[in-house]
This record gives sequence, structure tokens and C-alpha cells, in this order.
Amino acid sequence: MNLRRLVTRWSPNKLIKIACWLAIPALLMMAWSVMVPTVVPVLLGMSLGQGLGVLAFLCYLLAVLSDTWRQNEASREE
Amino acid sequence: MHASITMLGIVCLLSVAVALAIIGRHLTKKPALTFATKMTLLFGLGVFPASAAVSSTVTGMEATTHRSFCGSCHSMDAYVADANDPLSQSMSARHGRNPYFGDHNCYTCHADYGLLGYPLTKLNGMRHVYEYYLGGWRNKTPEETLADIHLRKPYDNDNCRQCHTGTLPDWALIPEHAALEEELQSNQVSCSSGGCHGYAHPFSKPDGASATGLPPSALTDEGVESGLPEAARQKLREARRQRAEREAAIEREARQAVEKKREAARDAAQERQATPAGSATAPPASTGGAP
Repeated sequence: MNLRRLVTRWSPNKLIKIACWLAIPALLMMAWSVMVPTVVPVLLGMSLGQGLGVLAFLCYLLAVLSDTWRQNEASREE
Repeated sequence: MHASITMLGIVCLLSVAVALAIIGRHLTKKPALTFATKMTLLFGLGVFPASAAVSSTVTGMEATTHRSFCGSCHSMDAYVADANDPLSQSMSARHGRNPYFGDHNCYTCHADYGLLGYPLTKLNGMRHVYEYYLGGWRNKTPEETLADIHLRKPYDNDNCRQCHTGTLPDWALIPEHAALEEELQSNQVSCSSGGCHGYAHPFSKPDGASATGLPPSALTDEGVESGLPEAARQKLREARRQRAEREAAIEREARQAVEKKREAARDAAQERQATPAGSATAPPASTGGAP
């Protein structure tokens, strides 16, 4: 399967690292929008912040998927 | 900016703090990707960020309904200053002093009423943000802002009627309401036109020109008529003529009643004068005096 091959090619640890670095600004923007509820923080928090947060979670899911499939492949080879 | 953070805001900040702690721990300690690590990261990258996103969205949406939020763009400085002025008699200031929606007065009056009112108002707000940051409004002086600012479409009277219902019988008893019912429904005539209930802001433009204050005619009959289409003006005059006739008839009836009472009193006095003096000195039975 092409998708499976594509996903297993990505390192789970690298994906988790990307997810973490994407989540940090996303969370900070959300916190900023609560502490300073003016136009720019609220807009950023609800658009860019949430977009980055979703991307971070997708990276995490991909990492889990990649790791699971890699383990399956390894056990099949053994 | 708000003086206090709401309960949901605290939930958001706590969620952010916990998520950041989990992420920070993972980035510094770099543990192996075991089941336990994955579950911990599920909370750090999924559950707590989702909680932060939901609570910050609700808090943010709520914040956009506050007058201070509207005032965060300098274009609105004069409007917010007027609404905050405890001595101002403009309609916006009087609504701002209403305890039921005081700090939300901009949003309550300018948000479209109905099922799609909320999302459409938010979309319209996005256009305001675009105009402010990319449309050149950010660099305008206060004078230029006041001269250029205008409503994109006629103000929807439904926004007034969401509180000031027009279905009560008393509402239709006002001749202006009765005469202009159709025009008010179709927004051809605004409740807040000069002379009706007056302009909403002291900077409202009665004739497209920049006004610095309410025109003196704002609350007179002529003031009402000045901003109306010809057909509506005719209807209004007819309603006023009918009201004047009705009032004249009532006054006539009242005068006649008074006249009748006077005549009755005169007749009674004449009768008393006509009766013998001895019986006139006797105390009336109703007073209950001594015999």
C-alpha cells in the first residue's frame, strides 16, 4: 500500500517533535487571546492558533500510525 | 481589555499550562515512544489543546461582544467615548447605561437579529478587521474616520424590535407607528431617524453629510418628516391630522362635560337661593351634624 509505505517512511520521533513545536505557538496564541481579548490576539488565536493545533495533532496521529505500522512490519519480518 | 478573566478563560489557561508542561517534558527528556508516552502525548497534543481551543473560542467570541472590544480600533474611539459618557443623551449612551446589556450595547444593537444573525455578524466583523488593517482605516485621523464612517445597508428595525416589541397594542396607538408600519417593516424608515427616536450616535449623518451633533429639529414633527420618502410623509401627515381630529373631539367632549357640570351647579345654587331662609340654615343630612 502506497499510503502505508509513505507513512512508515517518516520517523515517529521526528513527527512527534514537529507536533510539539507546532503545538507550542498554537497554545501560546490561544492563551494570549484569553489574556488580551483584543482584535489581533482573538483573531490569531481562533485562526492560526487553532490551525497549528490541528496540524500538531495530525502529526501526532501520523506518528502513532507510523510507529504502529513499523512495529507490525518488524514483527512480521521476525 | 477585560479587567477579569472568566471561568472559561481560567480553564483555557490551565489547559494550556498542562499541555505545555507535557510537551516541554517530552522535548527535554526525549523518552522512548512507548504506549505510556503515546498516551501522555495524547493529552499534551490532543485533549488539553482541544480543551484550550474550545474554551478560548467561547471566551474570544464572548469578548467580541464587549464595548471595549469594539473600542480596540481607534476608529471607534469617539463612539465608545460617547457610550461611556454618563452625561450623554445619545441613544447609544442611554442604551449603554441600561443594566440589561450595558457593556454589550454595540453588539446588541448592531448584531443582526434571527437565526443567521450571529454568524453573519461575525463575518461582517471580519470585513471590519480587513478594512481596518488592509483597507486604510488604520491610518485615518479621527476627523477623517468620523466623516467617512457609514452604515453599509439601512439599519434593520428588527434589531430594535427584538427588545421594543411592535406587537403590543400600545405600540400601534402611536400615530407615527400606525402610519409608517409598512415602511418600518421594510426598513425604509428607521426607528432611529431624526425626529422619531433620534439618531443613535451624535455623529450620525442625517443627510449623508458629517454631523457633529443632533440637529435641533431632531425631535420635532418637521424633524421626523425631513428624512422620510414623500409617500411616507403623506401617510404621516394624514395620521397626524386624524390624531389632531381625535384629540380635538376628546377636548370638545371634555369641555361639554365641564359645561354641563357648571350648569348643574348653577341650577343647584339657584334652587338653594329660592328655598326659605330657615330651611337653608339647617345642617345638611350628609354632614351628620347635631340637631
